[in-house]
Amino acid sequence: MRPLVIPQIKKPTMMYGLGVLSHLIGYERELSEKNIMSDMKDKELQKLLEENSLLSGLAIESEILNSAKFTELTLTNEEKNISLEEGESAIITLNGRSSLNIAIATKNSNDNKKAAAIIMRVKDNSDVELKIIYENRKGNESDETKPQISVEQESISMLKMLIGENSKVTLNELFITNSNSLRRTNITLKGNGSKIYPNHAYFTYGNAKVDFKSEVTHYGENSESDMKVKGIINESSSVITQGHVTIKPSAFNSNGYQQEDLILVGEKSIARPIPNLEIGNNEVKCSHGATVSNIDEETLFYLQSRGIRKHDAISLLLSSFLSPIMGLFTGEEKEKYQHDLKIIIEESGEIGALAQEK
Amino acid sequence: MTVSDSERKIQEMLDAPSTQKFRFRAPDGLTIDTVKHISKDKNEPEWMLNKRLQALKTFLQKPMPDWGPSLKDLNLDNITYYIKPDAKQNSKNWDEVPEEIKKVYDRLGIPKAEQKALAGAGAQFESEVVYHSLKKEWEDTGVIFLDMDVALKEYPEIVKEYFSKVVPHTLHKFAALHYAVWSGGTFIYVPKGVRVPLPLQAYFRMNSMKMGQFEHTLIIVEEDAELHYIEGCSAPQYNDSSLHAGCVEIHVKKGARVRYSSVENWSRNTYNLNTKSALVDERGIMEWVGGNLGSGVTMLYPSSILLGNNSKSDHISIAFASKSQNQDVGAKVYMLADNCSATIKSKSISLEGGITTYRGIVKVGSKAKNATLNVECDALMMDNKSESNTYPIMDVQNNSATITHEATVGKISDEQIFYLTSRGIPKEQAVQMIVSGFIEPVVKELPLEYAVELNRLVALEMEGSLG
Repeated sequence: MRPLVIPQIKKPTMMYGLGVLSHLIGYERELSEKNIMSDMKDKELQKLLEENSLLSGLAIESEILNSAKFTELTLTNEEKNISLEEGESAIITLNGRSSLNIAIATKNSNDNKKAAAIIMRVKDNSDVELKIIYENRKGNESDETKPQISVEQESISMLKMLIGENSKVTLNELFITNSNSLRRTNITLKGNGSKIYPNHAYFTYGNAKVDFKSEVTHYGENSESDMKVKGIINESSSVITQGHVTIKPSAFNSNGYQQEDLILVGEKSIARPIPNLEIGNNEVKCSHGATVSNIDEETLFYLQSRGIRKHDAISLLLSSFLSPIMGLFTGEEKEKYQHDLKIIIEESGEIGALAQEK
Repeated sequence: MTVSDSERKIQEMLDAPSTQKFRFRAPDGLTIDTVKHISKDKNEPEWMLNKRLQALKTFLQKPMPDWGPSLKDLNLDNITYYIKPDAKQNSKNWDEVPEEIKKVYDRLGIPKAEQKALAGAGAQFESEVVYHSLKKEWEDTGVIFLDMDVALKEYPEIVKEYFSKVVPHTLHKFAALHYAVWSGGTFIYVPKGVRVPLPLQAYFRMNSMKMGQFEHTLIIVEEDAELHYIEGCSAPQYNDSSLHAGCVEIHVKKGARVRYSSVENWSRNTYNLNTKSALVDERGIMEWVGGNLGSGVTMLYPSSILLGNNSKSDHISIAFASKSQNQDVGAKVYMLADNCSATIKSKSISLEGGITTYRGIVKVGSKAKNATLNVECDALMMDNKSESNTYPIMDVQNNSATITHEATVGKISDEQIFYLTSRGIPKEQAVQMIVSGFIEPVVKELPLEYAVELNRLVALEMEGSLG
């Protein structure tokens, strides 16, 4: 097998497969052309496609990497917290039992198309725990009125990871956004027995249009991946969630699982889950699943019958939906983000309206 | 389930080319003259010629699809778009069908099945329908079961009203091609309240080399009526590739129920780029049952457009890809009204380097309340050379929808084989038993003869390929 090498960073070329898959483009073209859907006066879909192409038509990643400020970091059996601003990038090498917390914040920025990129190499025989909190909340927080977001504003963040032999990585990611964002996670399981457990949780609100993609590619034998995506799509936000697991013919005895669960809260919110599997080997166990639903009425009724206000009940149910991933955060962080989430949930006009409905 | 010599012989006969005389064979390649000739030959009304020319223009403008299986070996200039067999059109009696052609259908068992289990049958050879008949009891109830060319002459108003309304010629390149050169196919009209308990069947056979078959099937099922229609397809094995770009349009009116079953067993050199679509009105039920086995490249995504409240659609399909085959199949469901529900069940088997792909799109419109949808894809991989992919797209724009998708990929477990062999069953037979069990949910939805045929074909394909 050809050895995998991360290209040198100083003069980067096209490293990330940005833009949607070619088959998706095919579908979109097929849909957006004047076909049966438009014959039926379903203009909405076309409109949506036009809006989403705003995010998928990005060809600026090399520009981002060229202009980005780089932080280089090597961790061996240690713990560290780092924070990245918009437009900053990091190259990280991890060794042994390490854990790293990364906070990426793009708050209150009015610039367009900025990015944060992380390139990570996990050495052989390591056990790594990663926590990434990515916030892309535009608008002034102190301003009580809802932030006015122009559609053009978008931010891009990427994570590329290469995992060596017998290494295990747990990736917990929380992603909060109210404006247009593009998020790419690209994980390569290189060696024999490499393992990755990506847990992605996201909460979108406002008019955000989010293009989210998490890719895992298995090259090594006995490699394992178990991807979980949980999303709450709120207000008028629309989300494309692509999970992509590829098992190469060399990856014998590999397991690849993915599960996407999305909750559509807003009347105008839109979800487009695209869980893909590409399997080139039969000595594997693979499955994927996706669900899209609303808050379960029965559970809500049960909580209300116990005297909990509808408003609180909804907030409780949404937090509990994210809790498998939120639960992995500890201490101050957990409190901070649970508190934040609660405030966002409570402030959300949609949920308020939902609570007053009946 | 083992393969007997006689069964193998049947398959060999199906694959063997036979020599046939033609009354007319259009020159290879697609030109405006070919299109005009087809239209003139069929004595078509002007609107149909205009439609064909419009479609030809669209065909020339549209690009080839840049997703899915590679179509670079398909040479569209090397295809014969229209061949008239030397036979009387639309014979009512098998005795009137020329002996040579009848022999082909005898081998396929069509006349026998017609007597026993069908309400009517049709047979298309190359570009024309050579046999068509409907039992008298159904004719009396007002059911129309005709060759599409004849229907255009006898019921021009109905055809004009419904033709090209579900699948527009602008949908994609091969739909445009289809509308430019379509010939033959089935027309079915079931009047209000009539239920046809026995299935109607049509069998399509491409016999010539480099042939392109473009049959158009138009089915209209009026309010509260019921229909089961079966299609079978095959072609012999040649060196040059042939093309099948058929089109199926189904109108399911209020409270009607339609089941469309097809087993497509084209030869390995065939590109099967089919378009199938149904419009479903209030309380209507549309059921697609499909088996895709033969062709080298298949791109087939039957779609249901649920336009009426409480409408429902079921998609059940099986794809089988062996050496050098690429089966790219799936389903499309557009839910545009309240309380729609749909299920998609897709099974695939790949072996000896075959590629199977499930590709589907599910859309819930922003005004479609309480939509429920369940997608299940199961893939079985028999060896390490094969490939199995799943590319579903879900587009949910209404928050009252409940959508689930599930897919699994795997191989036959050693434990299962060990268990069966420990009971004295030879390994090869054990594998076939497990495969039969795997495809059983699809097979049991097919009429008996087709179920037997599907099992036979799968057994035949897998024979000798298991180590």
